Amino acid sequence: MISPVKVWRRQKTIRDLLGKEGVIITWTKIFTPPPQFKHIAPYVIVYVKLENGQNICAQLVDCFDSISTYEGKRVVVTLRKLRESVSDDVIPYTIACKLL
Amino acid sequence: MKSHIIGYHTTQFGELWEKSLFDLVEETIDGVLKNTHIELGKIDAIFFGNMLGGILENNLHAGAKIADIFNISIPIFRVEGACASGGMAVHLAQEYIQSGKGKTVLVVGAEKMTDVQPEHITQGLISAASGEEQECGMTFPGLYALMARVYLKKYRYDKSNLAAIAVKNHAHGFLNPTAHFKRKVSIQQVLESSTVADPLGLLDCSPVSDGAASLIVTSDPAFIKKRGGITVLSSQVATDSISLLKRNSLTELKATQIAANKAFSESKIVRKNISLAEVHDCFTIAELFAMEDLGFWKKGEAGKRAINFETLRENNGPLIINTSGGLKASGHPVGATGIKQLGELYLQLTGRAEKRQVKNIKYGLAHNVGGSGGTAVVTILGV
Amino acid sequence: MKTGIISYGYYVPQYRIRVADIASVWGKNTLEIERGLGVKEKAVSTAAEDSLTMAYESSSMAMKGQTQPIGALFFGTESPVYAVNPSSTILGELLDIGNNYLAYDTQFACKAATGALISAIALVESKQIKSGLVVASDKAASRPHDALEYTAASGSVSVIVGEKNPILTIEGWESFSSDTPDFWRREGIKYPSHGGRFTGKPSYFKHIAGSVKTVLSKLRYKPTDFTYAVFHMPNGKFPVQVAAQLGFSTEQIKKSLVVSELGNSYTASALMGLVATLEYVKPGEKILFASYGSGAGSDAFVFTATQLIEKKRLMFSKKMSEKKYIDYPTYLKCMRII
Repeated sequence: MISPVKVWRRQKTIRDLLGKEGVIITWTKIFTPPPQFKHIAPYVIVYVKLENGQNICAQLVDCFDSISTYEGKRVVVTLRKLRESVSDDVIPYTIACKLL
Repeated sequence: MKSHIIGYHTTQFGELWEKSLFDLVEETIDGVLKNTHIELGKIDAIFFGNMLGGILENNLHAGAKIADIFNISIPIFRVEGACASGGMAVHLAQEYIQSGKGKTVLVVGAEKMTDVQPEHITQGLISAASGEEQECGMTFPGLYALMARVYLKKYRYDKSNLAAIAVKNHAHGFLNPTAHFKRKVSIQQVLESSTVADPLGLLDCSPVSDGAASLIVTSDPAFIKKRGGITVLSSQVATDSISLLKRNSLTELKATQIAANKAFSESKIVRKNISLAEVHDCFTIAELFAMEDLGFWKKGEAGKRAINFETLRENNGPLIINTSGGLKASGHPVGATGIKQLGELYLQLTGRAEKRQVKNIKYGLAHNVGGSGGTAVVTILGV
Repeated sequence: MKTGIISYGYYVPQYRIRVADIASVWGKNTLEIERGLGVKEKAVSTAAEDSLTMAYESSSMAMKGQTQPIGALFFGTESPVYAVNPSSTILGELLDIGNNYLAYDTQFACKAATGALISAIALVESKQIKSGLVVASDKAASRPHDALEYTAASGSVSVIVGEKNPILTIEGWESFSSDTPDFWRREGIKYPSHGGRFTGKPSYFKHIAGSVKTVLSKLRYKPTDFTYAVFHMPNGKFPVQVAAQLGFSTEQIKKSLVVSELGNSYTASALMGLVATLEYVKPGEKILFASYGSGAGSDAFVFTATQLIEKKRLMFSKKMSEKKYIDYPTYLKCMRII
């Protein structure tokens, strides 16, 4: 059971990151996910330096597999639903990155 | 009076279906008391290193559990610092002795990891990372993979520079009777192993293992004289941000650097004096970082030196690393690893390392890391 | 000042699955289905997406550069992420529009958003709010092997209604409603049911004819007064047929027929046809727009493009060509069926 209060507290941080742009510093692709991420595995996680200097890590979504090196590419922060919640949980939306 | 290690015991590391977490704790405590011919009544306190007991088994309050098993009333402290739990338990034990609170302390580390599916271990282990990292589906191999990619690119290495570490540690583990894996692997096998988190493959990662290990640490001159103890010359702990997002560099662990500098300073010996060390190779890349952060090798050199097998025992170089097989081959029951590292040094320094014995060693260093570098413990031992 | 649409945004996911790749799984004749439905492929959103994430994508596009306070946020969908809990406020929070707004979620099959559009227009026109954001978003689910599998798609369109600097003015609207059970889904049941051919003449065609004929007569317009017409697109055939029945030419609807490449994104379907049309409309030209929602009803609008459309129109056809084809197992993974 994901705490609805935790989801609510996290919301402002997610909101403040949405729409921010940055550059990919490094990345990996996960093939052995934790149980709540199995349904979208394998996935790419990128380590991004945002324009304001802050670092974030997020899944890189909607990227075509043919891009073999991601470093240096520009991304924008958007919204996705990644962690699978149990059917009666509050949905934990979170950030993800898309290539610009 | 500095603390001395006067006894060590380890269980087999591996998939130990018949044994529960506290079966393993009981086995190793019985073992070390028997090895040293010391009665439980002479132990003033116990320090217990364990990471996942709460998450996986809903079992906390381990102190009372151990008191229950052995029918004792002495102080027992559970210590947690992710994968550095064992090293931290030893650190606190010798601090306890140094402060005069007790003379003889038992330190035990244990982990039971094979009762649940591997994906639940993946989930349990990531509790040692920040919420932001957990939220996007990060795993521990993933965190080290992020760093590995930067390191390989920056210093123009490739995956074989990582694979060499696994090959070396397996060659060492081959000779260690209690190691999880007692078989050799080749660079080709490591490179061909299935990807866990690009660029790390299955054979770049330490395994999920059950196991327990224990040490007896004392300042009692009678015990030291009788047992011929190894001196704890220094024990230092340092921390860094839990999250990779706040680090200044992705190719080094600052906590290791700080703990190492303080440990060398406290022990009054220099890096050249160290000819044997057990370092934290949770992933092959981690051993490369360790060698550079501990100050044995210059930044960026580790990849080259690794592929030259400079620290393989067989090559008789000035510095041999991970004769136990490291985390990679001897296994990584999280809470037990830090204890095992010191135990391996103890065996080597007292001439008891059998087929793995390295000759003429006076000092040994153990390096135990928690998470992606949030905690580091560096301990230097001497005869 | 005339009330109109002052800004808009859209989102179409990049994945496509071809009718051919669905038909081959079930041993059906691809050509027959493509011709019968007038659809070649449809847009598929990933397992990490739902009607809310897509609504964020389209509404953040619409919100770019907007300074007018949003006084109302209406979210129309038939694939809500919660059975009970407003998506409109989750979106409002993520768009950081403060707390002084009216929010509600609507459902009326594929016309959930256009009904709310009428409410937004009324609130703006009566000067009770400065601007209103209306969002249409769907990740349409269909039972494997059902006919709907070839058309049920994903997409989102957002429009902001206001008085200041509209790019499309709204001349008027009409709504035609009745109780006609052509397509429905009961609580707790995963996939919708439909009345087969009953979804045609007594449903889609009757209601669109009802709203369009009334709005034309009320505003004294003939079909030839319009440069473009946009009709709801459950498939590629119905909009072409209803256009002909109502006196509109294939030229007038051609630009709007995105369904053959994108499938039917339900509440976003007709609006997506409008987005496609806005890429071409010139100042002064008129658009006749009619949605359809099963159950049933139709909302018809008359829009006129202003000078501002030249500067503010969004590229659409180029974005539509940035796509990646997926196979059937990947489609099932995206739709969380496996």
